[in-house]
Amino acid sequence: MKSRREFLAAGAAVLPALALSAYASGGSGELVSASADNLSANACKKLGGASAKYFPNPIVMTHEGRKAWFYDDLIKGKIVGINFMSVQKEDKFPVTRNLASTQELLGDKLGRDVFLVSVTTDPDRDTPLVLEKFAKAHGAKEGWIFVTGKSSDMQALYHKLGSHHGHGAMANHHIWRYGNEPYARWATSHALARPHQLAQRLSWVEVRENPSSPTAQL
Amino acid sequence: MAASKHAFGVGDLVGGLCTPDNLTLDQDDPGSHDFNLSPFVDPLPIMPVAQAVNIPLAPPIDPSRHQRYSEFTPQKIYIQVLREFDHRYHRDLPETKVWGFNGNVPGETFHARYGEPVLIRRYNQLPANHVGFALPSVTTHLHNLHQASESDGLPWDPVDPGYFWDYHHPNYPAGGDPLEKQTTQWYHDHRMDFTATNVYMGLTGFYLLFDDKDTGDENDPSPQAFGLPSGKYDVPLILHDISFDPAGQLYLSQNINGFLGKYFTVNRKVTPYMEVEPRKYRFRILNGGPSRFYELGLRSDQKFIVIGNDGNLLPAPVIADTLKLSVAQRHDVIVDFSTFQPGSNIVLENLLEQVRGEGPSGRRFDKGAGDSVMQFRVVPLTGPDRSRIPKKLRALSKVNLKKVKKHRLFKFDYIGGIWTVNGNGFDMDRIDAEIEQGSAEIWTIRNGGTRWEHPVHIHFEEFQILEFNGKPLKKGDVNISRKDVLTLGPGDEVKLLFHFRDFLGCHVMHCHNVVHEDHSMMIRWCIVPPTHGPALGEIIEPRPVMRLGNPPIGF
Repeated sequence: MKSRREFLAAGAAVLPALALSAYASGGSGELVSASADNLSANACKKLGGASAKYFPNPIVMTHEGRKAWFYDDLIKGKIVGINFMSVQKEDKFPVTRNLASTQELLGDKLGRDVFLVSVTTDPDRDTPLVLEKFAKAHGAKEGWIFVTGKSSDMQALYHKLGSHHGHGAMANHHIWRYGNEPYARWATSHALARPHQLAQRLSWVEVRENPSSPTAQL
Repeated sequence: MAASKHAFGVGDLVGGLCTPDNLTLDQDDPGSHDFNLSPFVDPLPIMPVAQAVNIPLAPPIDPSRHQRYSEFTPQKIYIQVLREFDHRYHRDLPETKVWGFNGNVPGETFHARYGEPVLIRRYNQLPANHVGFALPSVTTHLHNLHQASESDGLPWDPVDPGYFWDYHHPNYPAGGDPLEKQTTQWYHDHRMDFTATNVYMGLTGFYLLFDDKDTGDENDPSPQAFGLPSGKYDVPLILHDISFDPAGQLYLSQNINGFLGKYFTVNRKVTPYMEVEPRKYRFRILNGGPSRFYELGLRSDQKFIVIGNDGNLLPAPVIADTLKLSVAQRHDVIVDFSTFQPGSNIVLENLLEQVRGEGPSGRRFDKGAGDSVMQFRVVPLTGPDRSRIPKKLRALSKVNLKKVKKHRLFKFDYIGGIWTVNGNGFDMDRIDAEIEQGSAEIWTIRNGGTRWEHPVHIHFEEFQILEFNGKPLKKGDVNISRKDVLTLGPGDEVKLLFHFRDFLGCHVMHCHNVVHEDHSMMIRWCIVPPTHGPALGEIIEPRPVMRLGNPPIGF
């Protein structure tokens, strides 16, 4: 039996990404969903990991025009901060501007040790192309991914990760989830917390050797 | 009208806690597993009493890190090492990883005395590579003991694996006033953003204070001594509700409204039993959270004789049928089992329905139909009961409003999924209130919500309730007391009186539904010198950081 990744790669050759065709303008996908009509993304088995049970795993489109499984490709194995945003609401709630400042403090660690994922709550307007321009305008570097996708998938992500009550409209961008996926450490902060506090939080969940343990002294 | 619900009688299985039709226990609980656990099969564990050490500390204590150290030179030194180990929550469950102190979960019970300052050195030897919901970076808060900021165990004072922290506890009553003495305190983790997870893993314990009245000896011949039940008849009980995953390991969801466990534990055993003699007992009952509220009752005609609220002895005992406990609240009670024959069983039950982490549903079960918390089994008396219940305990200091220099309003609410105080999430770099040392203030605490409850906790100084929803408390209310946790129901507004004394520095006020606390419902306030003036930008306080070091051999 083929692995899921092999299956997807094979599907790319024969199946157009029907469900995500609206995002075709975002660029050619590295991964192409086989979900189209007959296979729900959520029905696909996740790759598994310490936090796999918690995260939804829809197929999303990145601002770079890549298709990605949300958990498998963007969260698994990483230290990551996750926020919700929309281009329209940025003026009112400047979460992306705040993360742009945070990004500067992360320096070389971004894209190597830590990652940022920004999920739009306005997928109809925030197409990959729009997000690409938006990311560029905010100086997003490698390691900071903006994602969009099917409205129902964005809602699933929002209700799980960005919402207080697990239901309702995608109205707020206040919650910033951060954690260390392989170590299953997750917490939240206010998305508009000071940039140095957000950067510091990502360092909290890093795993550091006990400096006074016998093994550390060898 | 009381809620209808099946009762768990003796021998019944402990099922999941109440789940009325169309409501789930926890909206986000896919990993929690139902085990058919028989109640009352495990004896109640009693935590050992902490023992002082008589060995030199290396590196030595640094007095410059502690305010008023020379005035309160420690007379006893304790060492606690925080480690991960295996613990069995119930006879029929496998062992699960927990975090505790010197191999104990809950940690050892401290027996401290007024006038006898202590220092506790706590080494963090938790596994740095721990996999799971908790963070092995800790800070141990001694809940409302009157201690300086640097020894309070504040959220922004992390101690990482491999490091230690010295906690200096003067055991000195606020303002030097004997009426401010405390009795039942507790210590617990307070790590910023990870308090709920780390407390859930086991980082809690009791810290009891005694003096020349509450002496801890029921046979004390001193005319001043209260003679309250002591020794093995003085029993601390900490309640936590917890869940397990299908493998029987501790399970905690990422729900940010609050977490409700499927099983009640007392001293970290699921629904245990305790053998009691037909005599008086003193129970120090603490709701250790994370999010559940309790109204405790006995399935008998027995009443509680309440002698303490939030670790403060009341002016006089109050007779109560039930005890309400929001998270972190404590009640010291006397229960007299002398009317029971050996062989009798009495169940302690929770009568409050709660199906959401935000707070109770507002419904209350009929007596006998609540959820079992633990069972008392009466065994023969082993000796005469010479303990007493004095008519008067510790008077309240008179309310003096002359020193009040400031009124403040704090509104507890939420915005966009973040639990807020005055519209803000917690900011460790923002001072939300600067308070002149030696002054008194009136704080109005308002619940901006209509559906949720918040157990609001203010560190360092006890408060008295001046008004609850515009009215003073009625005579006989157990909340006519010094307190450190305020239960704020939907729409409630409460006026509190504080005096801020003795030490400079910063502390916090927060919701003690620790899930709300971790999701930002906290402020930072600071006691500043009176001459500092209103434009103060910096706070004078020693800010020690964690120090590197391994525990001594044998720990």
